[in-house]
Amino acid sequence: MPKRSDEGGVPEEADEGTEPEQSAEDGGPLRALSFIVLLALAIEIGLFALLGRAAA
Amino acid sequence: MSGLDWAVLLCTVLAIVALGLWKTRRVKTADAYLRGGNDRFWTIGLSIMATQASAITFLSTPGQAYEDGLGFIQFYFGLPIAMVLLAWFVVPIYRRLHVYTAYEYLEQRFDKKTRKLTAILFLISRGLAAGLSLYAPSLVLSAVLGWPLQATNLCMGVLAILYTVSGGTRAVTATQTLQMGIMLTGMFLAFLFVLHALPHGMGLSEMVTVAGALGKMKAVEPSLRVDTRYTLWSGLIGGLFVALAYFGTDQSQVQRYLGGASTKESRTGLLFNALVKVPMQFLVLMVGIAVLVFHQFERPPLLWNEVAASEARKSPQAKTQLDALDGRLTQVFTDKRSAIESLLAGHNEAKQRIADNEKAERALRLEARKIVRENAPPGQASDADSIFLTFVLRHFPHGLLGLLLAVIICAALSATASALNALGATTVVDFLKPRDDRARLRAARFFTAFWGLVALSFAAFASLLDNLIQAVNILGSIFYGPMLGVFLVGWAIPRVRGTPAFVATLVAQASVVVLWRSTSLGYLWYNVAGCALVVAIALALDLVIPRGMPATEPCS
Repeated sequence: MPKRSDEGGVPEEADEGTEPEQSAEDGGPLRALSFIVLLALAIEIGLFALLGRAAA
Repeated sequence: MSGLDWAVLLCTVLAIVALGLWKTRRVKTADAYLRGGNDRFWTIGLSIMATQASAITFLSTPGQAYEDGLGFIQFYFGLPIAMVLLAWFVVPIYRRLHVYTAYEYLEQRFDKKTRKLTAILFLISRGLAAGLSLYAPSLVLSAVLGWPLQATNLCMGVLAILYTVSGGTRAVTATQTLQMGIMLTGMFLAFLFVLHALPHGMGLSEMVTVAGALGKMKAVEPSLRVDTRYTLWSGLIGGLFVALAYFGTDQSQVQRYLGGASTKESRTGLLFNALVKVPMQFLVLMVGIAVLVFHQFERPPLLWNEVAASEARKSPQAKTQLDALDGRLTQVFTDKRSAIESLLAGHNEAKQRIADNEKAERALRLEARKIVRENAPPGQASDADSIFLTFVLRHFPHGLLGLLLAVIICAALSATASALNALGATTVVDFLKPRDDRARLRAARFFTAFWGLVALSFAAFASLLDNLIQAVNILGSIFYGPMLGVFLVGWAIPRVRGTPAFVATLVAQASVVVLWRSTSLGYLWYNVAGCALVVAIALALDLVIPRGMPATEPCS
């Protein structure tokens, strides 16, 4: 049974073994993709700021 | 509208419904119906985007850029950060617990009463919003095209109900992939068309120069002023809160990524959305900028909602006032056009004249809208929301006009279908819980149809409410803060138990209602206040209630 609120805490696995969970090899691509997402956001904000300044 | 436009529109809409019915003809289990399944990341990403993109997004966002420029893009700056946080910390929790709804997680983390409370809050807010996602585009389509309002509501509602009831989550996901493709293609072609329609010799660079002189190209406002609605900081911080609440706790979005083939696909789907969303919104805003620049060379109407304008003109006094404003608009337009031509010829000193005339035109428009509000019957589509559709009708070639109308109807169908799908799933999974799979599937279909009828009924009577969109936005903000608060406590503060979380949610919800009724606080702040109250009260109560005492009572 998953751990419940009586003692607080994050619930444990409800049904073990039905899906291979977050594995070490998922972590690398996810980290890279997250970095790309945040970098893309920073670049977009920078480009929008430059565009506004150039057009003013 | 020509026969070609009708053919494009009808073929697109019927293809979507047929795809939804055909792709899901083998949905025979409740699991397939409620969870969907085995979706790849691009399907999840497109489905998430299509759920968020309601028809009013495509109708009013270009109008917003036309009136206020690109500043609205900042609202989306917090979204990619929220997607990264959800992908890393929240998706694995939902996937590990094999939940169908976000609220199931709260029972496993806290207790049954907390789950039911949040599920009820979701049913109320999303049930009303589903009606709005039908009503808002119908209002604009009926105002601009002259289609009967109730028949438009009914047609769109019945189509969405038909394939959502038939195929559940699988139908919603399958159709949303096609719908999103149509929406992106339609808006890209619209942008190219308006760019092509600019006077000879004008390209993207000249368009940006003119829009800049009109003061509409400022997309990033680094000011710390809290009374400015869209700034870099309100976008990054406020936008992050709104996106965390919407994508992390709203079942209409959670259901989209729970259908991933694996945790990895679900996470990548969210990050796909994070990458594409800001550029997509920028494209939609740039369509509005292109329409604005086009109308620096061709005189725009004083009022875009012609139905409301003609209603107001029935009053002789209003007609005289509007005619006078119309005459003044012609003078302002002529002077502004000559200043823009000077600017394009290299005379930078014309910029001040352009800015002054733009200000004068804005003042004329505001005055005209005030006259319309005072003289036309209530319940009219907003003038700014009518800008893009009126432009499309007047200037787009046959075929492309039909495609743009298909974009708007696709957006209405996709947002409504996701909402009905989530409402049906939440009713069955969080409240009824039939044990037998066939009974579960039958109940899910029945309640999806039931919520469809609720949405249609709300849409049918929505015209009786004045200032409807604001009313529903306020309603959403009242519920979103406490909802995000209780999930945040669950995700991030392991020590807090069920009863403190439940009591904190109730107290915070009541406090937000009191704030709404007794103060003039801007409604966007309800999100922050509600969330902060839940976290603070839950932490305090958890300290007060001794650990030895049962903090959770059995609840059936």
